[in-house]
Amino acid sequence: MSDRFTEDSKGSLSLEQLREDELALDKKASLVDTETDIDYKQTFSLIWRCLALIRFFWRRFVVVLSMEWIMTAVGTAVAPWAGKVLVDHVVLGQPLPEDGGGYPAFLLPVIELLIGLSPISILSWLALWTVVGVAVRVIWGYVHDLVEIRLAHSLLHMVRSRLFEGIRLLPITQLDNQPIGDSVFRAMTDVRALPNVIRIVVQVPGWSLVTLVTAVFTLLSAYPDAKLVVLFAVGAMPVYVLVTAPFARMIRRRAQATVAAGTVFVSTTEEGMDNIQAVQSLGANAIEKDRFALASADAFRRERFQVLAQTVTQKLGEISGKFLYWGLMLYMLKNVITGDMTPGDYAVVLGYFWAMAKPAEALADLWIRLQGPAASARRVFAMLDLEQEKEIGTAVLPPVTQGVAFEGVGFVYPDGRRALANVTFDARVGEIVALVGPTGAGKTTLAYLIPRYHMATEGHLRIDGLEVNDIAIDSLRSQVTYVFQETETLAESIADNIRFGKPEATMEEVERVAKSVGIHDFIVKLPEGYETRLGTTSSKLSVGQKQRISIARGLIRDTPILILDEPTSALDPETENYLISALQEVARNRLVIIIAHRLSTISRSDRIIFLEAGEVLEQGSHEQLMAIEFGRYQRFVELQSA
Amino acid sequence: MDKETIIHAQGLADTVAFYGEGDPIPASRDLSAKDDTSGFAAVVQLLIRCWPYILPQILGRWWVPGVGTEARMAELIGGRGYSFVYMPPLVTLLAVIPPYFGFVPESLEYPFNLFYGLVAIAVLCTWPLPNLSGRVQLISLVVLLVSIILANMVAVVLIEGSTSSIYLGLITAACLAGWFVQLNIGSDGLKYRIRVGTHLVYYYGLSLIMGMGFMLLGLMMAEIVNQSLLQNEPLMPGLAALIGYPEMSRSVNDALTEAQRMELRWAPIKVELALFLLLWPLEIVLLYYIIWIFQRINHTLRLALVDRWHRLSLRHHADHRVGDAIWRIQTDSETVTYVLKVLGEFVTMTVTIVTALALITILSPLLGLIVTFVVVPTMILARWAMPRFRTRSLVERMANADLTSRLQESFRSIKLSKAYQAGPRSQKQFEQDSMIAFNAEYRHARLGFRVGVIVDTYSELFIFTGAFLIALWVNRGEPTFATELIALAGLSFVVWNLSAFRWSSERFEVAIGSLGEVLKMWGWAQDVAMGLKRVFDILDMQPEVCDREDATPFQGFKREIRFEDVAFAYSADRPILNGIDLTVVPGTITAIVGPSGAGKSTMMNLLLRLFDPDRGAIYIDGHDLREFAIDSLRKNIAIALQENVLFGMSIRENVRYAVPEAGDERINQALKIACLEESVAMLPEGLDTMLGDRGGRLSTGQRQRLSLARAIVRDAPILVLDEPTAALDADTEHRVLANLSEWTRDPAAQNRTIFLITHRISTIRRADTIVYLEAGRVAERGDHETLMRIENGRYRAFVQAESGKNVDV
Repeated sequence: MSDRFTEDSKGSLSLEQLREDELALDKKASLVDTETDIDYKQTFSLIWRCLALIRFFWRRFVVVLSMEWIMTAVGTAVAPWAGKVLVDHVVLGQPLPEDGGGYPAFLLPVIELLIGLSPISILSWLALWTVVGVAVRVIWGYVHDLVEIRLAHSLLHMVRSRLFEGIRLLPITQLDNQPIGDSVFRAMTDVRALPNVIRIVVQVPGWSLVTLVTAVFTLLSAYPDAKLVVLFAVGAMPVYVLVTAPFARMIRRRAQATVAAGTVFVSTTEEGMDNIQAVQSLGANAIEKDRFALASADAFRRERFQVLAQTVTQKLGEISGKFLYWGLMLYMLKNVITGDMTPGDYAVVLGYFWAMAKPAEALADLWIRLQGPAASARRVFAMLDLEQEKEIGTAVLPPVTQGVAFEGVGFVYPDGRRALANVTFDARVGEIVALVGPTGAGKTTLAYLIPRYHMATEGHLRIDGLEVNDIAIDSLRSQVTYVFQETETLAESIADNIRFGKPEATMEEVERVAKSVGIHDFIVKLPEGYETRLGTTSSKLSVGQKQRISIARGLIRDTPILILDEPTSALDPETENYLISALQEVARNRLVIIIAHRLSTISRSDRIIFLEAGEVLEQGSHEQLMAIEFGRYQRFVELQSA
Repeated sequence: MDKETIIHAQGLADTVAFYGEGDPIPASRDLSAKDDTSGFAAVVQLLIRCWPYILPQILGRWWVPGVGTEARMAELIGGRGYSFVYMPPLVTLLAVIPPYFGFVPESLEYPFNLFYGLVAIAVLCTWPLPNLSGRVQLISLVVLLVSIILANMVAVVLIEGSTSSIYLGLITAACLAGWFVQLNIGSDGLKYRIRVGTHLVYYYGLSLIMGMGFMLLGLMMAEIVNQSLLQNEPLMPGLAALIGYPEMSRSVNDALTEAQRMELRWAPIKVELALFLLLWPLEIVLLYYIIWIFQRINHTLRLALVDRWHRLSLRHHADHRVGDAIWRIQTDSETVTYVLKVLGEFVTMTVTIVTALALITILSPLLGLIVTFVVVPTMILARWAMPRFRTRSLVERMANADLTSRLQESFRSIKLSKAYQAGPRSQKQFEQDSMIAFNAEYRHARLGFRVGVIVDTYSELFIFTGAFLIALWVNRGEPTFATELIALAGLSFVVWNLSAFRWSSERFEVAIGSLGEVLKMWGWAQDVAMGLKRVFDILDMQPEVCDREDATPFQGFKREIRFEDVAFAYSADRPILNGIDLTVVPGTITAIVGPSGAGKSTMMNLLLRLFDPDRGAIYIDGHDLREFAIDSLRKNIAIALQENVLFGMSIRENVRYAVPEAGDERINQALKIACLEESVAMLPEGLDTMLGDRGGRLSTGQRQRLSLARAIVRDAPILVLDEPTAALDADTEHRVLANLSEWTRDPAAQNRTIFLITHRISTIRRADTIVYLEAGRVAERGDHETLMRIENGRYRAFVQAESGKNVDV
């Protein structure tokens, strides 16, 4: 099989194809964050939002910046003069001028010390100062580096934690559509762009300006009539900006494509590893490897293209800067040829020109360099901006004693599909209520309304007479336990898996619920018993065992309302019987709602709600419903026992 | 941001220490220098182990006329009948003819003695290459490479004029031709093959050309500007002709007029423009090229890693965290691209240091001694720092992998943690792991800074000591050491003076500075090696289940599938299967029934060879399963898994996941059998509807049927359905089962064999044979009626329990 790399490198250089690929990729990258285009206004606002983060770190920031600037300024201003002293007055042995001529004013107090000394004494002084200077510089740099790296960590930790929280607080229905790989990529890779934006916007110009000003100042103090040189060097800036600016959008698009492809790559890896049992069982190793190869090659290709786009743009800017340099060269050479300048002056002035051109270019390059990080920053902020679960209620729900009442409840998905209509029934504490009906009838949707994973769009849903929407989410969910249909084990010990919903539970409690779901005997037979660690892709347990652990996890929370979504689908009849008996026990002072298909489960509940196409068709006890002639439930029972 | 968020964010930001380590890393996830197991040799070994991934980009592949480019990597020298016997005579002729006819100076004076000596060695070494093999061949290859490179350096640096460079260029090209083009003179005439795709060779070749281009440009510019424009000397004749100002040549006049110089001002611009038009695009292309090459190397390693990982058994995966896999594949594998850089820098720096040291020593042995002495603290520092670099790099990598796992696991069970209000707890755990990762990163970085501080301090002190010593000598006017040797190197420092000061303190600084750089680079190499270690740790794992060397492809089965005394345990003290005996014939439905945890799914896992049995064997038509190639076996068994796994792609892609070539017709047929056609048709985007990786847009029943459709679309002779209808209502279940049995008995298709794991009586009754499994053994078997007749039978009890005690069966 091909490794996908080479074929992927060929062709597809057409812009149309690129654009198409990109759209497809954006679609694949995340199903939650879909509006991905960034215009100029947004780019500015993204940069601004990054900068606004500085306020959380302003102390660190002041320290880092001032240390940096002081280091640069002192370095440029002092270091060269030590070399001059060494060469002129030690190596060549010339005496120091009495008035300190040729040295800048701020060094005069030091220079005066050396006046009249022998070369050897000057050398000794220099040696002493050098040692002190080196020590100060090295320690200064060390401290600066430590504070700087911690500054970045602090920023990253804050953003990353908030990002985690943002995703965590998304409505449950959105979370189903958020690929794990995408979340991982945002939290591990995209956040790293934020300190970059700040560095580019604040630290680079800071450094550039300090260097530029120092160079201009020194040049003008030595050659007061060299103003034209400054003009040429600084003039390169607007030219560079003008030439490169039109390409900013292209680079931004490339960067977006790169992160999207990176996301798909991580998602593909994650899926392949997480579903390894499926991959192996389906004999899909080669297919999965190919899928991975495609994602990897794609991510690499887009990364290359981004670098290419950026390099070409920067080269164009550089070339435009060259024209100014050539202009300056012509002008200076004319001066030399006509004798207005000496050849030595030419070299010195050009040296200064370069010293100024470098920071000027760095300044001009800012906008281009910001485009890549902007693409990543967008993905971070977009996630933070997504609408989180709405907290509209404030009421505290006292311990539930009566039950849940549905009154004309309806639910319509945001995309307009109707799931439930005019649902009316009561479910009282002390009952087992079974929700029955064909798949897709809306049973899970209905059950989701009670802990408010969904919000009813019509009618009234009350718990103990309180509107569910008025109750604070935390208060509501602390009294409702939902056991999901998909069994999920966490990468923790079995005991921790069971007490997930009640971390303070004692071992006795854990064992009690394990016994009531009939898994205790199995667990104690394991070599490590309750301390056996489970993996997420665990093959250590059968599905039936996982299902029972899930139920135990629900039972241990000991809440007045317990909802079980197909709790027994993977259990053998005996275990099921045992479990239902346990639930009947539990239901004595609780409300237990079960979604089930199995007759053996349903027939033992106190009340059955038969749902079809989002409406309640029949309700009552097993006997009552069986008595309805040609009833839907009757037919349902016949089918199963046929 | 509202006020609460700001306070919250400030709190998070302040958790990170202003500077300093922060909270210690938990002992279970930390390593100290004592835990280091790698050592110098291990690091070198790890770097060398990357070679197989880099080598294909150097050796390339053969292009053979009529055949095209071969898939396998080309040989280093020759082989498979092909050779390059033409090369030595060609090189010899090229080396002899030009001097013989006087195209290059026929002289044995210095530096020509050196030059021709190197050429002679090179020519001699070409002869054993195609004609001998083994060690002699390898040695001559190395000597040839070294002498050719040295000769080229001599030609460019020591000899004036370009003829000798061209002469040597031709010889080099002829040597390379032998490597690139090889002949096969056999009975069926002359054949040839050409080496292609030696990307690293192309890249470094082109870089060399570009480097020389920039050097040439620099020289010409300096010549024109410094000599002619700044001081009005005329141009050298060759240069004058080249840039189109013959009237300003040295052979025409002694000095340039002001007018001429005014005109000549435009020349450097023209030169620069002309050359840049060539060099700039080349620069961009080369940058792109090297990224491409490195990505390709990385890609190959990633694929090897994923492939191995996918083949490791479920037992391994149960103990391994997914986030760790992501980190190793995405980040750790990247280090393979740094190996060449480490190697390259190491070589360049060593050359720099040795040359500088030699030159310094000629001027002053004392200075040379000082440089040599710097090696001592460097070595001591290295001994202290390297184990720490390694362990800190490992801790950092592990911490980030753990954090990735934490993310993956948290988001995987996010619904659960929302429903059970474990959100704040998982937030806290995440923040802890995040802090640990940053603290580990900080400690690793700080070690780097510290080493930097120490190296910089003592290097600078030594550098200044040297500079002061020289300054002192200049001041006193002392003589230098080996004046004659200095003259040989083309210098004329008899006494210490200003230019001797400048020249030697520069060399001195380079030598000591480079020593420090080597240390820092080696510290970085430890990090590279640790990344590689984490990659090779996985590549070193042998899959438990793998193809035998003589594995045959599975051809489908005709007579029977037979389990013979099959026993299996995930861990020794927890047996799952304990002596299963069972025979299944084609065209039948076998239901496997029993309490949960009885080993039903495990039995099917063994049939798929997800594991091999510990005892006994499974035979298909008399062949042990272990004789078959795994992939071909699994291709012939379609399975609908109990846990409905969906991938983050469209419904269409999900259905044909294991059969990518399936067309819409087949997909729709499978959906129809699974009774999912209508539901899909109702979705606005139909088959193109994208699913999240947990299939959030579908109900569980729909997901289950999709999983079923995926098995059906495979159209394999053996079909395994693990609880295929658990999440379906009775009506849908009936329709699905009816469709399924119709499909199974489709006369057009071959006889399919179905294994069915289920609790549903209605489903079980459709089976031809029912196998009741208990505690890893077959307790009862037979059809429904037979088993129901057994008094106190296990199956009978099972059915009674399932139907509810009141329902009569």
